[in-house]
Amino acid sequence: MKEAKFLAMSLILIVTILLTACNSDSSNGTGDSDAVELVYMSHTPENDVQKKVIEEEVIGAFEKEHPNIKIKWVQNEDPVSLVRQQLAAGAGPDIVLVDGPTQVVQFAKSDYLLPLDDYAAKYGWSDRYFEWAYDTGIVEDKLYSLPGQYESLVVWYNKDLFEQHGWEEPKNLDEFLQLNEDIANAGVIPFAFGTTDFRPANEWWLSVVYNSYLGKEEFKKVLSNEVPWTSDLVQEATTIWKDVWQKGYINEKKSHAISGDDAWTLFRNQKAAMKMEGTWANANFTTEPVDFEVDFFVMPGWRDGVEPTLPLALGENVGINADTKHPDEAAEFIDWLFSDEVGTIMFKQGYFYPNKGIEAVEGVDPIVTNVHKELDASLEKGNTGFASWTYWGPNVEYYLWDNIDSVFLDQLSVEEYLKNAQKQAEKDEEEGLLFNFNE
Amino acid sequence: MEVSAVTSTKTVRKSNKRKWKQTILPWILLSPTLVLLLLVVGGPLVGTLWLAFTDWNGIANPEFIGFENFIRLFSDHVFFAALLNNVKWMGFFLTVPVILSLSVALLISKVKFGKMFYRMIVFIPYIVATVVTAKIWLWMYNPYVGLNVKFEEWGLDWLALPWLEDGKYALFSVALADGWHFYGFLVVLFLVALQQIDKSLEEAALVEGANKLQIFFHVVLPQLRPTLVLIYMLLIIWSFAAFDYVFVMTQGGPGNASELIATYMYDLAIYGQQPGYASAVALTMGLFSILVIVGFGYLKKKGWDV
Repeated sequence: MKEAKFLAMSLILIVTILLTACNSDSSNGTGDSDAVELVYMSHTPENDVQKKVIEEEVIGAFEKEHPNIKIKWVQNEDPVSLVRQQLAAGAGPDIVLVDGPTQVVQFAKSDYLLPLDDYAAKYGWSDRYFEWAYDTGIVEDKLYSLPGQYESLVVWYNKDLFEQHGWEEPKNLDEFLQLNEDIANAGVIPFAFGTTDFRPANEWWLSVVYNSYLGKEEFKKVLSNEVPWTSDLVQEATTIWKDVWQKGYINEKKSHAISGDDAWTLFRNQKAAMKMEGTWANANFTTEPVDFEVDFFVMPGWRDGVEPTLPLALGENVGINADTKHPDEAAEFIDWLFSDEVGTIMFKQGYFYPNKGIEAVEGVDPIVTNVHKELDASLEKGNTGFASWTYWGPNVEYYLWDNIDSVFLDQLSVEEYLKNAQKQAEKDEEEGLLFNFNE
Repeated sequence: MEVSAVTSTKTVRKSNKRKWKQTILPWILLSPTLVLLLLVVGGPLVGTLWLAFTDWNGIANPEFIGFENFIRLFSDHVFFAALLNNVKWMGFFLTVPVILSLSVALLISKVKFGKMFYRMIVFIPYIVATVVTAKIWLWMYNPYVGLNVKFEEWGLDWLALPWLEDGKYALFSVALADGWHFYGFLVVLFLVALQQIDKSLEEAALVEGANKLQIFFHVVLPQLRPTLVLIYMLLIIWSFAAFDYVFVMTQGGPGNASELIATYMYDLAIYGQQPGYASAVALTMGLFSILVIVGFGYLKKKGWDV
C-alpha cells in the first residue's frame, strides 16, 4: 500500500510540475513587464547580411525609439501558409503577413484583419504610397492592409558569356528562341531553373509567358474571366512554352529534378547563361556577388504588337490581426515597417517599396538602381502586367503551376490543362476571388 | 472469533490492495498518456472527420456539403494515381528492404567478432534525420554533380538513369532512399528475433542431413514468423502514411509521378487551400490503416501466430 501511495503521490507531483511549467507566463519573453510584445512573422531573410539589417536597422531602431514595445520577430520559409492556419485556429501573430490582394479580400471578409482607416488618417498613409499599391489593401471601401515590397520577373544573364559569344538581348520571340538555340549549341544551358524544393516556382515562368504572349490588355480579360483560359491565345502561349521546355532550353528538361539552389549554382558556375528570376534576386547579387558581370533584360513581347510587359507583383501586404490586444502599438510598428526610412534601408538590399518618398539611394549597387529604373519606367508607361501571386485567382493559380510539369512530360494535353484551368477560374469567380480590375 | 475477524479484515485488505493494483493504479499511470492522446490525436481526428464533410478554403467558415468530397474522390484521377503509388510503395517496402535486412541480419548473426560494430553501422542511417538523408540522396541523384556524373566517367552509362527526371523512375528512386534509411531498423528487429530462435532445432536438422537453404526455409523462417508478421503489418500501415521522403525530394513530381496520398493531402490543404477536401483524402489513409489492423486481428483470431 505504501508503495502504491508513493507511486500515486509521485505521479501527482510530476503532473503538477508539468502543468505548472506549461502554465508559466510566456506572453512576455522579454522579462520587461512594462513592455508590450508584438509578434511579427516574416519570410526568412535571403542571407545573414539582410537578417542583420532587419534586426538592427529596422526592428532594433524601432524598439529603441519605442521602449514600451518589444517585437518578437518570427522567421519562417512559408509564413503565409502558417499565418493562414494560425488565423483559422483563432490565433496568429499581431502583424499579419498577407499573400497579395486576393488574400486580403479573403482575410477581410473572414474578419481576420482590423480595419485600418483611422490609423491611415492618423499617419497619412494614403499620401505615402502609389495609388495602385495602396488600393490593393482596400476591401469594400475599408483599408485592411499596407502594401509591402513590389517586384517583377526579369531575365538575368551572364554578360561576360554573352559578349564572349556575341549573343544579344532578344527583341521578339524568334530572337528569343534563336538565342536559346545558340546558347545550347555552345554547350551552355540556356536557362538555369529548378523546382524540386519549391514547385510554385513554375508560376514565375507562367506569369512571364502569358504576359509576354497575350499582352496586358488581353491577359486582363482572361484574368477577369471575360475570355476563357481555353481561348486560342492562351493555348498558343502554353504550346510555345511547352515546346521551349521540351527543346531543353529550360535547364535541359531537368527543372523538375533539381532544386532552386542547384539552379543558382549552375548560373553562378557559368554552366547556365540565363536565369529567369524575380527582382528579389538583387539581394543575391549584391550580398553574394558572382564572378562575372551580370545584367538583365525584360522578356520581349512574344507576339506582334505586344510590348515587353513586366509582370508586376506585390510581394506581400501586411495587416493587423483583428484579435490583437495591442492594435495601437501594432499600427505604430507597421507605420514604421513601411515608412520611407525603412523603404530606403531595404532599397539598399535590393527591395523596392511602393512609397512615393523613396528617392534613388546613393552608393547602391548599379544593378539594383537599374532594375528599379526599369520597373519605374514600366509603371510610368503602363507596361506592367500581372504576376500570378498577386492578380490571378487562387484556384486557377494553384492548378496551373501544380500541373504544368504534366504538360511538359506529355502526361496532360495543353487542351485538357486549360480546360481544367478554366473550371478553376470559374470556381474563383463563384467564390468572389477574382481580382477586381475595375476598382 | 477474534482470529476469524482479523483474518477476514486481512482478506478484505488484500482484496482491496489487489483491486487497487490491478484496476485503479494502471489507469492512474496511463492517464497522462491518455489525456495527451485524447488532445493530440482525438481532437484533430474529430476535426478531420467534421472537415471532410465541408467545403472549406481554410479561411472562411466551413460549409457543410454532406458526402460531396467523397463523391469527388471517385472522379479524382490524381487521388487514384496517388493511391496506386502508395500500393507500389508498399510493394517495394514489403520486398526489397525486408529481403535485404533479413540477409544482412543473417550475415551479422554468423559473425563471431565485431557483431556490435556491424549492427551499429547498419543502424546509423536510421538515426540520421530524414531531411538530412533525403538531401544526401537528392545530391546523389543530381544530374550535374551526383552519381550519374561518376557512372559516365567510369563508362557505366547504362547505370546513369534519369532518377528523378523521368516519371517512370522517380517513385522508385525516392523509395530506394527511404529504404536505405529504413532497412537498418529491420535488421535490428531480425537480429533480436534470430537470437531467440531454438538453436537445437537447427542442429537436429543438420544431423538429419538438411542443407543450409532447407534449414533456413524450414527451420529458421517459421520461427521468425511472428516478427515477420509484425514487420509486414507496420510496413503496410506506414506505406499508406508515407510522406517525408517524397515531400523533401520531389514534392510528388514530376507531374504526379511520385504523388502519394499524404503528399497530395498536404498539397491540397496547404497550397490548394482546400482543407475540407484534403480531410476527406486524409480519412482514406486512416481507413486503409484500420483495414490492415482488422485484417491482422482476423488472422490472429483464426489462429495465426501474429
